Amino acid sequence: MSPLDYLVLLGSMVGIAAYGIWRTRGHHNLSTYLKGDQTTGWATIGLSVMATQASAITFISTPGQGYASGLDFIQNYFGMPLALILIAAVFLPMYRRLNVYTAYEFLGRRFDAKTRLLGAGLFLLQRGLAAGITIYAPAIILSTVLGWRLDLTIVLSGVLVILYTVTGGSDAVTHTQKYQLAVIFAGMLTALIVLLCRLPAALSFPDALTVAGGFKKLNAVDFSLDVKQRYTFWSGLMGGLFLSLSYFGTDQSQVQRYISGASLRESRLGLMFNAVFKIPMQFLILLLGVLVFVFYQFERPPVFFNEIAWKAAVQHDPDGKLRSIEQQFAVVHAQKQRLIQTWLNAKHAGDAQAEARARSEALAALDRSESLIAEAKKALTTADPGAKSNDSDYVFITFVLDHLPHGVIGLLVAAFFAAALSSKAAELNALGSTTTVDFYRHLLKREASDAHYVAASKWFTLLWGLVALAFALFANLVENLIQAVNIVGSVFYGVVLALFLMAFFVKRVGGTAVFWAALIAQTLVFILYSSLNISYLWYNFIGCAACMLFSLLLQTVIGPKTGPAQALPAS
Amino acid sequence: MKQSGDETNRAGMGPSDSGNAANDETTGLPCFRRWRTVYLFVLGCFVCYVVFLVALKWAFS
Repeated sequence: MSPLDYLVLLGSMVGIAAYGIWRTRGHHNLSTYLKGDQTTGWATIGLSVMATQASAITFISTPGQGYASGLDFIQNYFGMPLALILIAAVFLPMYRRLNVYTAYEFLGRRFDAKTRLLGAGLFLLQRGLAAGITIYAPAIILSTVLGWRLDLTIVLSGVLVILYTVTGGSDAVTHTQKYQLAVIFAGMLTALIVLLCRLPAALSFPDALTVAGGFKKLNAVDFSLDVKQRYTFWSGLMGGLFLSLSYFGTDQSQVQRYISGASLRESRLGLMFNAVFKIPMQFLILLLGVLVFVFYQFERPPVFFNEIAWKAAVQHDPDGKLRSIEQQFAVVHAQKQRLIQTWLNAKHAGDAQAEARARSEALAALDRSESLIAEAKKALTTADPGAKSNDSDYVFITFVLDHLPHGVIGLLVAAFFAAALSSKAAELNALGSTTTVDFYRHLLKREASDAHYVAASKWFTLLWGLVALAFALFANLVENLIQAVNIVGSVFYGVVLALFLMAFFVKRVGGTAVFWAALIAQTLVFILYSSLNISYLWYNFIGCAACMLFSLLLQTVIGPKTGPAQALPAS
Repeated sequence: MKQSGDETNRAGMGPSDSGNAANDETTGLPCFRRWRTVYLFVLGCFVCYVVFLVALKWAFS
């Protein structure tokens, strides 16, 4: 990175954080600190919800996913529009009528205090565990590629986000996210334009799509009913609906974003903004990855995109196997490039037979190339047993550093950090709010001034920020940790969603039944997790279904409930 | 251990929505006056996206 890149990076990151602090100066009461000044419009809410969901990994890894597997990951988002409609129509009006700070307060009003604490506790447990990862995961990639010190990268980005989140509260998070997302969009759009300009002059955009489609990178929708397929239309629709309901409807880091709207109307429109634009946004990010794939058909890519790890392994490879693979890879790449050119020439000439033949030969060359990459990964882990064989997270950042002009590199790295800060800020804000409102104010200090609760909220946010920093600094098994955090989320998410679904849709079930049902269901999930060997994603469904079923059974056993903990406003 | 009824109001939780209820019923959008129409529009967009993605695969496979 050049001084210009550093100027763009530091200027945008520090500038946005300083704006967040300045914008929220003088916010001294609990309502404005936790929910903003209640004047937030739909566009800001929509962008804030989008920024909270999109972490740095979204913008670093998703193009890599597009490069490796094409567009099929887009199906993961197919359930989201329907989930957001349900939240806008059912969840949101109730949150706003009850005027709650946290989603878990709603559980207290609908059921009782113990169910509220259970919901809030489960949130703190899973989100608290994940807190370090949103800083650590992008930091490990960026520090590896850019040669920065990992601990310094973590501490500097962590301190910056803690500073403006603690100082400005929810409003600072919402307003900084707007500009952080602007940096992200500017960076990704610039990368797309530069990428299109850097494709070979003779290659038109339809030609690029022809190459991508011919190599099966545009297979976005798969209607098959095969449950072994990771992404299909049906799994995306059903699984995506379920996950989006849990995440957007019950996770405080998201709920806090949209309950801060000036009115129900503004909050609803903010959610609908995401329901309409999230799929196109993910499509463009994946398409960027697909086009990087096309670019590297005409420009020789590295055999392994984590070049630091590759170079280290080459030094521990006395018999020269890795270098030999590199040479073979270069030969196969040159052959493939010629075959693609023949294929496109035949297409332009309208010779369908020659086109089909050349395409088939190019596909065979691609298979040979991928076999060499697989062989290289195997040889890499043999030469360096500590090396990670998955390099897809490094595809996009390698392209950025090797092929984009200075200034734009700084903008893209700023975009990655903006994404990391925006999701981290929302997390810290939610953790601090939930600890203050659902535990501290509810259990320890029920009668205190607003200023006291604001101070408590700031301290709790700072505490969670330091926990996240410590976790990130001492985490050194990133792949395992990410998976561990995902497993923890899946193990708890189902039961939390069930609490909310029972609260919203099953009026005859009371707090005692649902509380004990949640504990039994959670225990069942723990037992199944330790005894079954199924994908952890299934525990979302199992936990939710079990909790709902047990709630109904327990309510039948203990008899009709006498009434809700507190009368809810009519919906 | 029930939560007291006025707890949420005690710490100054900001204005209730009751005064804005009438405004919230309307979307304020020129073409979509009812929320149901907005939701149908969103679902329509989703269908269009799926059709576009299927067409993209079909056109370039």
